[in-house]
Amino acid sequence: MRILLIDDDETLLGIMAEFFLGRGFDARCAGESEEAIALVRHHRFDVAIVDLELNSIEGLDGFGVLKALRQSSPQTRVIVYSGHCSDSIVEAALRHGGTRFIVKPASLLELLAVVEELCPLRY
Amino acid sequence: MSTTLLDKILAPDAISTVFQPIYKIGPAGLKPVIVECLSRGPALTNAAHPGVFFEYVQLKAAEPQVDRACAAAALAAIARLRSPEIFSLNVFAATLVRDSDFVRWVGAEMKRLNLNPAMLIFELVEHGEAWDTQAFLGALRDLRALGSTIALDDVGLAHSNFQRILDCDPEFLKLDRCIVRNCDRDDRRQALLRSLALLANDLGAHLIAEGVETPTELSTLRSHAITLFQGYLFSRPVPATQILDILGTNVPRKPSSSTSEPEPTQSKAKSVGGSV
Repeated sequence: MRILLIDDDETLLGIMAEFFLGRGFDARCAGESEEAIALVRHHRFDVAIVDLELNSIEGLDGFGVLKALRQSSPQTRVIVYSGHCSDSIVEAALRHGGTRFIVKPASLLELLAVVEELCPLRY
Repeated sequence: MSTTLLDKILAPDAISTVFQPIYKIGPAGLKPVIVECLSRGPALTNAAHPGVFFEYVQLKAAEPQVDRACAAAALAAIARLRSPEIFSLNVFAATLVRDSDFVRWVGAEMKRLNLNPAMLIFELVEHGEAWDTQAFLGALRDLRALGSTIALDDVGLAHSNFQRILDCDPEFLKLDRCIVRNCDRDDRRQALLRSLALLANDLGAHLIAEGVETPTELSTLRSHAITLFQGYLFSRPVPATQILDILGTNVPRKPSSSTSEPEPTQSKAKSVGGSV
């Protein structure tokens, strides 16, 4: 299964990548929204874990990634992973294409459980 | 502060150059006449994929810096080859607009590497942003003043439009693969080919078909008076070590029997580097 991990915390990204690679996922990482958008326009992913707070050019934050995923890869299951969890943020993230919202911090096993739940047949 | 992909792209020696020949079919048969330099992003990063690489650069609005890095790598690679061929290299049109020093810089690089600007074609890759026509046209004039020539890349795709053809007055029009692919099976694509071949001839430009993959596509393109071709049918992009072999042996693949058609009508295209 192909998984895209998007977070501007390089350390967290590395740990997540090792975790999912170790469980047999084909994991790709992006540390910026521009990198993530370029990736989803040229590759297909079964699932993406998207941090909403990315250091990027205005208008190309995590919501820009959600928009690109919806346009270029609508079949991808999108887990929005964010420390900001007000009702309006959660509602906006799900409206922009998020399949599930998980509040940071969450354990890697919690993330894995959601991935397995969203893609049971392909896992 | 974490290292971004752009930092990795712009690191010394991070960008590499591969080469893809452009072939001409003429009375002497099939012969490589131009070698396109293609830049590749750093290995083991997301930019190793060319599509991701250039998409990312555009999203970061980093065309000028990256174009300089790509051109520096390509020119150095050309100098190492010591080949008399005509080479082409890609430049974002946005770079010519935003980097007012680009042409002076590239001219100085060619001089430093003892490269003849007349043997270099700049392939302009389009960009859809707001346009400073004066800056763009000034840069084109300066490139031509160096002795180099201009190709418009991706003709038929998105922003490579008729206005840009008029602006650039290019010596070469590179037909995008979206028109070339399956042209042998599609009357509408053949109508476009017919029109673009006439247009190129009337404008005095050479037409290059990109992305040629099958003998029947080649045959169809030839029937529309197109004589310059590039694509996997002839050669994939190859490293420097292999391009010299290709140039030395001239014909890596014999054209199919379907290429034995009459020579196309006389072209009015401008001469370039004396040999295209």
